[in-house]
Amino acid sequence: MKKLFVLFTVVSFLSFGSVVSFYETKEISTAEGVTGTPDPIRPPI
Amino acid sequence: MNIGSIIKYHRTLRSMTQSELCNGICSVSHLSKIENNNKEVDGHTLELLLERLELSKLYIEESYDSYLKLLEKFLQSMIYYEKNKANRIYTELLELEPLLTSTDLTFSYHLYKYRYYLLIEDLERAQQIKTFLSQFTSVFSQHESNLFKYLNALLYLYQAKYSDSLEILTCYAEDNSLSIKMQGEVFYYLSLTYSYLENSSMCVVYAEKAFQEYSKACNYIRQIHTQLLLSIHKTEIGLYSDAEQHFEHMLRNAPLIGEVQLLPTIYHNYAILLSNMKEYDQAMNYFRMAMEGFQSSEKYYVSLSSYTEILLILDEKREALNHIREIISNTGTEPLKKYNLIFTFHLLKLEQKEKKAIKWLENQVIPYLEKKNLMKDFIKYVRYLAEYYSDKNKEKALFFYGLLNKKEERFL
Repeated sequence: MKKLFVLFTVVSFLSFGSVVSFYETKEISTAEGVTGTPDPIRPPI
Repeated sequence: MNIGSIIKYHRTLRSMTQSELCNGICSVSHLSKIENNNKEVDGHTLELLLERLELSKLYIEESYDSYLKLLEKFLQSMIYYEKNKANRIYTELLELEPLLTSTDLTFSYHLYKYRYYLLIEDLERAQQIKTFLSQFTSVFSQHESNLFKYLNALLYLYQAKYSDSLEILTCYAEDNSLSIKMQGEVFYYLSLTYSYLENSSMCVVYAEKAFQEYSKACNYIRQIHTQLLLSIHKTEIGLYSDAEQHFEHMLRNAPLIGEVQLLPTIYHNYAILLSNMKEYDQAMNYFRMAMEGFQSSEKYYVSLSSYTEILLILDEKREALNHIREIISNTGTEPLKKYNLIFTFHLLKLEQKEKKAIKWLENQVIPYLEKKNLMKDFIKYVRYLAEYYSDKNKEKALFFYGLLNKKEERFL
């Protein structure tokens, strides 16, 4: 019974983790290829 | 002393016609020749003309040399970018204005005032004085005429009319027809124009020349400004160790000569170098230092945008989102509109609204970048669209690749 309970806990934890990580990747993703060219600030005229 | 120019100046100032001024004194054609400095005026005629203009000869001749010296100091302070000194002399000159405008120094005075308004970025008054001086170009001496055109080039630079500015400055760089004291400036402004045109190699060529001239003249503040241009564009070209050396010099020398207000600009550009070298942690530190110095100005949002782009590269999405929202709500108007459009795109991407993001790019970002001639950004986003459509819509992909080809050819 105890073993079953531990197994159930581990499985639930892993499932919850994968749902969270799925949500994280699904929720936001960056615009690759269009970042990383910052604008300089020039000296005065 | 070109007395004819002075007569014309005061007649125009009083809205008098030539015949109203010379009535009973001399003929209109005679006055016209005097005003154009084509004919010497005899003492008696001069006296009568000045009397009608309510001026006296003594008043005109008095203190001529001291005004000349003061004007030279004024110009010198602006060439050396000594703003406080220029402010003081400007106030002194304003008190002397009635006297100055009675001598043939009148055009130099107005031209230097034009230079001063450009120095303090008072573009409204610079435009006003340009319009005023335009009436007198036919009676300008060669030097005054050159100086006027040169100052117009600086105004064009502020107004983002880079090709107009480039045309004038290139002439002066080639024929040395401006004062030798201004040679460094001509190279500096050419370099700055090429910088705005995103032409790094030409920018570096002229910045090196400007630096040599400024070194000869011990013009320390402008030397730092020139080093900034060199470091920005050497970073752009990929000459990272050269750029790093310039930054080391600037970070050491700017505080030594009291130019601490330049430090945030130096930090920002140094952060870009570090970011290009993929030293992101250091880059973010320098962006933070830059933002602390800029506080809530336009420059602050330029720095915050660059900082946020690094967060996106590092996949720090949550912090990036907070900054993106701040950027969008503070960059709705020019000159920051570009950041508003680009970061709205980033926001849509982060919110997984792929189709909306692509539509936003096509309908808002790309037309804006093309209109503003921001070629590097334009090419970057058109390439992104071309790649996006390559496996979804062949027709659109071809269209964007074609656009890319056309623009890249012109840009190179």
